[in-house]
Amino acid sequence: MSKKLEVKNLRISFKTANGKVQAVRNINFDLHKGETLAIVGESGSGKSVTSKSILGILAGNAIIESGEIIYDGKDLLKITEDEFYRIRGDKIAMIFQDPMSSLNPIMRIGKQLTEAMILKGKARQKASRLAFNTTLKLLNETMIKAIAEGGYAQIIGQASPTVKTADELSRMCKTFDTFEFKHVELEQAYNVAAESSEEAIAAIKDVLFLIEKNAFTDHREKIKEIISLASKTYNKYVVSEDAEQLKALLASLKSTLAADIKAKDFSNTANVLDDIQQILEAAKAKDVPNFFRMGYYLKYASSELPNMPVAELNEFLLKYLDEHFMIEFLKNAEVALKYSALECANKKAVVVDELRKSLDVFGAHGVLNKSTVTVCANELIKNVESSIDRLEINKDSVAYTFKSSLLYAIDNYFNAIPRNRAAQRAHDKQQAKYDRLVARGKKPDWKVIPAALIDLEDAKKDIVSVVERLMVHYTSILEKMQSRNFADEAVALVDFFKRNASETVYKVTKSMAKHKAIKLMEEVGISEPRKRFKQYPFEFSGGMRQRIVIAVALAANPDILICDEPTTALDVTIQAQILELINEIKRERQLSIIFITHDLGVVANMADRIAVMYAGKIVEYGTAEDIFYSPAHPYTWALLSSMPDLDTNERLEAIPGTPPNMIYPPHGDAFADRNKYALEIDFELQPPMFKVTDTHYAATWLLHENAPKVDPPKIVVDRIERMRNRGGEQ
Amino acid sequence: MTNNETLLKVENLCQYFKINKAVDDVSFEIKKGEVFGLVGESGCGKTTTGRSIIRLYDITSGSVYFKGQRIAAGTLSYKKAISEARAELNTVRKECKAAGTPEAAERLAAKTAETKAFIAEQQNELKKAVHDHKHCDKDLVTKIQMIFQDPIASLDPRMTVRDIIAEGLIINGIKDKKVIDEKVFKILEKVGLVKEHASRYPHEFSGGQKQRIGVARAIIMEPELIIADEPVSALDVSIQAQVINLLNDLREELGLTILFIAHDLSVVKYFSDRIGVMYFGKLVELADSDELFKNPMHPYTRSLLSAIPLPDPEYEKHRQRIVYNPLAEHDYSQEQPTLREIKPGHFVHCNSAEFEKYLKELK
Repeated sequence: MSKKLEVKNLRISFKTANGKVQAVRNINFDLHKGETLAIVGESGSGKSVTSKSILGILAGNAIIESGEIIYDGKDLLKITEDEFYRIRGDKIAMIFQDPMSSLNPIMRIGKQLTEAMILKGKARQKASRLAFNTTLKLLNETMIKAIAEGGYAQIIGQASPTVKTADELSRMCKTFDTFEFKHVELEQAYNVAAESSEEAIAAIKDVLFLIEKNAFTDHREKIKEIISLASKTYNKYVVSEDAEQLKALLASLKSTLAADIKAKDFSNTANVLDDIQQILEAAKAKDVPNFFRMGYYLKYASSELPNMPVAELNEFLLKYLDEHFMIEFLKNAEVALKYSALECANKKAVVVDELRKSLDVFGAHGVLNKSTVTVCANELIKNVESSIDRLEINKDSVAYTFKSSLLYAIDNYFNAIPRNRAAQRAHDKQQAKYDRLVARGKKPDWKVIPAALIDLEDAKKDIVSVVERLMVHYTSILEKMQSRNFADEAVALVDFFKRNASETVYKVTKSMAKHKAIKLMEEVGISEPRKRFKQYPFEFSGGMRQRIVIAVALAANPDILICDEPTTALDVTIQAQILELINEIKRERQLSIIFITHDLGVVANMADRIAVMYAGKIVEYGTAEDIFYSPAHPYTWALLSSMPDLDTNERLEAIPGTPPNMIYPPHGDAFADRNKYALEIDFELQPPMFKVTDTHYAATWLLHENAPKVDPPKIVVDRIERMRNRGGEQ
Repeated sequence: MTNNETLLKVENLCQYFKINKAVDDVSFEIKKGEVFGLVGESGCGKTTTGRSIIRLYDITSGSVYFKGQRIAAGTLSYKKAISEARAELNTVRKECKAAGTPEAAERLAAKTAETKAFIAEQQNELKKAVHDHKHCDKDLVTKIQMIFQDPIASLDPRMTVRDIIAEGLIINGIKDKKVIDEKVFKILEKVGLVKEHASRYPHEFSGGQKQRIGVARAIIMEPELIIADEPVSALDVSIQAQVINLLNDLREELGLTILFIAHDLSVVKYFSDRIGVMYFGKLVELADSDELFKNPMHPYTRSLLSAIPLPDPEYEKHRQRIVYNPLAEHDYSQEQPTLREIKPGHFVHCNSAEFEKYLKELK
């Protein structure tokens, strides 16, 4: 599983009139592709702040003290607003708690659903074209360079049948470009036909069901839809031989229905629909030809496409493509990739040395010298930038973010110094006053506000950690260099081209967007989407509104979905439906989800991994099984014991008190005050993360080897026992 | 604690908003000292039922009895009966006129007399209903109090806690400030707040404390029945437990009867003695809470129970949600369904064919 999102060392505070509220204090977590990470905690524990920082929508008085949120080779805390436009809503989408406030009240639902689709469609087309063209150009250049400098034999280790000239290589890339677009065209046509056929089948099944149940509905609208869908299915590889028959059936459908409506008996319509369904089902069962191979044949072969079964045709086309083009192209791509990787590896080795040297400059004692630091940093950045392998498809996130992270950390440090002086004077004054009062034997009921909003030592540590991280990262890359398989990478590169090409051709028109929106609305369970499409948000009930919000979030087909208590305002059945919906979409689209909630029942359903947050810190994290079957932190126990389930009869154990004031966070464990299992050390020292198992960590002194052994509350133990038994039955 | 005295009786309650039948023919009884849970999805009419009982709406039809007295009554059923009788008379009249024979004239006369008597009776009932509804005992109605869902929205931000809690007393004519203060302080202590809180404003409290103020406002009138409309849905889990424990304590201490409206089934199961399940304005199933969870009969109840999320990942992975589609489940073309008793204390909304089916399943 690849990491989609990494949050490192994140610290966020809010400036308020009373001082600095520390909302998030040093949290770390990763999000993998296709997994759901649930963040659980009380209100005010910092879970929403974390998710908002990922989306770059923190309130104006927020201070990001340190940390990184790395997505797709970018540090989301440091990129510009322009760059964020491309990510927010498109790559990372969010479902908010309150559906009313996240929909525009004076805009029809349909407009709100399609607006982003159309705009983003245009943007995506542009971006994909750019990615395709630049990468192909880069590949072409590297190929030429590799042959000119290294030669085929030296790099790959085997002699080439024919060494290509630069011109030939360029022509090869051009060929690839041309037939790739032919492939996309063919596939597009096929997809439209195949999708319409699927939808038509679904619609037919609906109508047949209604007819069977004698429901009193008007079928005309639905029949119209079926006709329009079915007539889009004529394609060589979908409905071809039966096309005439299908046409005849569709032509007769309307008149049959009209007659049936008069007779109040729909059996004739049902028969016709049955026939249509059969034709479409048969079309669905057909094999799909490989359009990528076919594209090349149609573009460059002199003869017509041979008439043979699809499976054989695929074999034939594969052979043709391999013989004439693909093997050679892949070989050359492999050479280019390897050449580029080796080139960069050399540079990386140099960079690692330089990084090590620079640690002396950044880690020096006392106040740093601005000019030395800047010179050193600029030199480093230049070298690191040149050592990045641009041909790699999986962007090296640490290297790409190095520049912004380092500059941000340095800026942070030097900006903190002048601010520091003024604050320091005020602080000294206050401290003196405080001391005077204490000396007189009084107990002041206020505390001294810390002088520095940003701690200089911490800021310095941040700079060093940025450098160190890249150093470790590069070293590990260099170690892995030997085991890389460039042949596979070449294939992956071709796939990358295919994907971008298909996105370039894919154009979102208004009617397509409407069609897609209606499909989405159906997908999220809104009945009569055609009618609902034209309504305003206030005409929807709470559950329906939340569905619309989910549909809007999914419309852009995001990579990461952040759900901030999406079902808290909904009732059980709708909640179950929406959770199922999110789970299903997650499976289909390999979505990564951050799910924020305080309902542990919901979490058990959704989460692969769970992080329990309290007072801005992650106090426990592990897989869902870890947290529910062997919870280790007293706060997790308290959460579990304060909610009833279906077998609970005993008195619930409410958590006493309220969360601490985060202007003056407690020295020790923040939960100690409300924790009946608290040890003395809990009030003195913050517990580190103790490892329970490989996947399960918890920050509580109870796990220390010298701590007394404490059992979880009875209500939790009983429940786990019950769950174990029930698990045995299944 | 529960005894057999019926405290609240709801009979054929209908609440229509124009053509929208929010509550349609709902009947149930609440015994003294019990907690009656009302569950269902949003928009199924559970809140409307609660509000109709406490006379926040004028009900369309049916009646509500509290301690044996009718406190709310609707007129639509009588009006409908009258107009139907008139229509029937008209058709008979037409038939008889067309026939023109002496027997027909006789039949017409008989029918007319019968209908007249019927209409007079209905009009009498109607007058009674209007009278009861208009002149219901106001003191009696103050014995029903309500706790609202959203503690933030239901407390006036410009009133102090004392004013909020004492408002009901003042409206009911208590003027002595000392008495009021005394009462307010006592109630505050009872709900787990302190005297000093009385002079503060709602925004100074946390969510759980705000809901406690809402509870205090309800119990200061010394009610016998509390209608709790989703009292914990808007709260954090840890605070939910505080409020549920508080309600449980008060119930034992004051002998309260509670109509508990909620959609969180785990909480309803934990808190209620009997549970009614509503679907689209109709009460589809009513039983003891253990019985309902053990033997859910109506397909909607089953689908509702199958949707409850539990804090158990292993179970959640295998959970099969049952989808309820009324069109596929029921065939009511032959016979309309009614609420039938399938087992002592267990009622299901069904017609005779389904009744037989359920009986078989129960065995």
